[in-house]
Amino acid sequence: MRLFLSMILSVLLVACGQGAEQETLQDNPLHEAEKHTEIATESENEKTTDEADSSAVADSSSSKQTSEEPSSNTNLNELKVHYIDAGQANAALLQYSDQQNSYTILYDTGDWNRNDVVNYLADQNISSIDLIIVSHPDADHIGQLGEIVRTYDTGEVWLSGNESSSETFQNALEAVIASDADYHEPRTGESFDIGPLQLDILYPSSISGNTNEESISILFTYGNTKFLFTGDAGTSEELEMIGTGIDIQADILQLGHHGSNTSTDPAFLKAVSPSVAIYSAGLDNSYGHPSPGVVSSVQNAGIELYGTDVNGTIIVTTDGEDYSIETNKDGTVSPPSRASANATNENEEAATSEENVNSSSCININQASIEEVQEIIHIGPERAQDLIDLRPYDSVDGLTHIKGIDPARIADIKNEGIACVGG
Amino acid sequence: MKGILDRFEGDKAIILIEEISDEFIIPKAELPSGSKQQTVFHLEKSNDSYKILAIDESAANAAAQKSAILMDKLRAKSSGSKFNRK
Repeated sequence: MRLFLSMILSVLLVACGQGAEQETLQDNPLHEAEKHTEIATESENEKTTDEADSSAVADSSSSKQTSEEPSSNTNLNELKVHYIDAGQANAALLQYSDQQNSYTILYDTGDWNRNDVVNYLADQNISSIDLIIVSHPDADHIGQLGEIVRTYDTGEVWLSGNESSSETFQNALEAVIASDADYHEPRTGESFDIGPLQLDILYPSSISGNTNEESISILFTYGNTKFLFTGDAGTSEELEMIGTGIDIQADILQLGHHGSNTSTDPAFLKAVSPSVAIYSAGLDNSYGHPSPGVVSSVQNAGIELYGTDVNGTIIVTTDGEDYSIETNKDGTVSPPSRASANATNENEEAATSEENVNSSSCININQASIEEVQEIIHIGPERAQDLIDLRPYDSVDGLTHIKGIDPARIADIKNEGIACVGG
Repeated sequence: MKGILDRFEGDKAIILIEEISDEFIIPKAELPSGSKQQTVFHLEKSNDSYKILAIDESAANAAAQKSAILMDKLRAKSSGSKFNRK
C-alpha cells in the first residue's frame, strides 16, 4: 500500500449568507478528535446518540471485498472528488485529466436559495464543465444549475426526466435550453466513458414521477477506485440496484438521501461494502439527517464516516489505486492514505453485523426528548407526543399502543434498531 | 404570496416562496388535505413564519404545464450523450 504525501488543502469559504455554519464546527466534539487525525470515528450526532464507540478507527477499514479486476497500472493522473459543503443540500465535483484534456463533472448543484456551489466552482478556477448530472429535480439538488450553466460553458446536462413545477426547476431548464449543452436522461445499464473515467448507470430504468426514488444513481470507476452516488434514492431502489446484476461494490459511497433512514439498506451497504461513506447534510438541520440508525450501521460495519455537516467540504484524491481524504477543517486534515478495494484487506474481522447495533447509540423510548424520538422510523411529531404520553414501556413492542403503529411498523422500528428501552 | 411544495423530508413538508427567496418547513399533518409535491399555496406572513390560506389549483396547473413545455423543448434539443461507451 503506498502512502500519498499529505497535502495541504485550502478551501476558501465564501460567505454565502449561512457561512456561520463553519464557525460552529469549532464546538463539535468531532473537531477535537480530528486534531488527532481520528476523524470519522465518532458519531457526528454525539449530542443525541451519546456515541462512545471507537471501533471505526481510521486504520481499521473493513472493506470486505476485493476487486476481481487485475491491477491496471495505467499511470493515471490524479482524480479529485470534492463533496462540497452545500448546507442541507448536495453537490459533488469531480476533476481529473489525461494527456490531452482536463475534465470537470458535477453531480448535483446545491440548494436553490444559496450560492455556495457557484462560489466553490469559482474558487477552483474552472473554465468549463464537461457534464452536470442532477440526480433529481428537488430544489436542494437542482438548486444552482441555472446559475452554473449560465456561468460555465457546459458540454452536457443529464436529468432524471422527472419534473418539478418550481421556478427554480424552470429557470434551470431555460438556462440549459439557451446553452449549447447536450441533454440526456440516463437509464439503468447505460455506460459512458469521459476520458479515463467510466460511468455506469444503476438507476432509474424508467421514471414515473417519484422524484427522490428515481434519482440518477451512478458508479464512477477510475482505475481501480470506485465512487457511488445515489442521490435521494431509497431502500427499495437500492435493492433494485443490487438486482441489476451490475457489480455495485465501491470504495467510497455517498450515503443516500443525506444519510436519512429512507436509504442505506443493510443489504445495500453489504453489497457496496465501501471503506468510506460520506453524506451531505447541513449542521443542525431540521430533518434529523443523518439518521442515528444509519450512522450506527455504517460505523458498526467498520466503515469510515464523513459528513459535510461536521467535516465541511471533503476531498478524496486518487491515482486509481490508492486514495487519500482531506477535509477543510482549519485548512487541513490528512488521515492516512488507503488502498482501494483491490488491495488485500487485513481487517475483515472488524466488520460487525448490521443487526448488532451499538446499544450506546440507541434512543431510549422511556427517556428521550420529543425531538429525539422522531429519529425513529414512523415516529413524527404527533406520534412522538403519543409516545411520550404513553410511557413507560417494558419493550419496544409497547409502541403498538401508539395510534398508527401496527405490527408491520413495529417490525420496521425493530429492524432499524435505534429504539430501545433503558434498564 | 405563493408557495410551492417542493418535497417532503420525513414528516415535514418544504415549501418554497420563490418570489422572496425564502422557504419554510411545516409538519405534513398541517397541510391542507389533497396537498402533494408541486401543490401551489396562497400564503400570508404570520409572525416569523407563514400561514397557508388555500391551495391554488390554477397556479399549480399553469406551473406544471410550463415545466412540461420546457422539458419537451429540452428533449427536442439533443440527440443524447456523446460520452456513450463505444
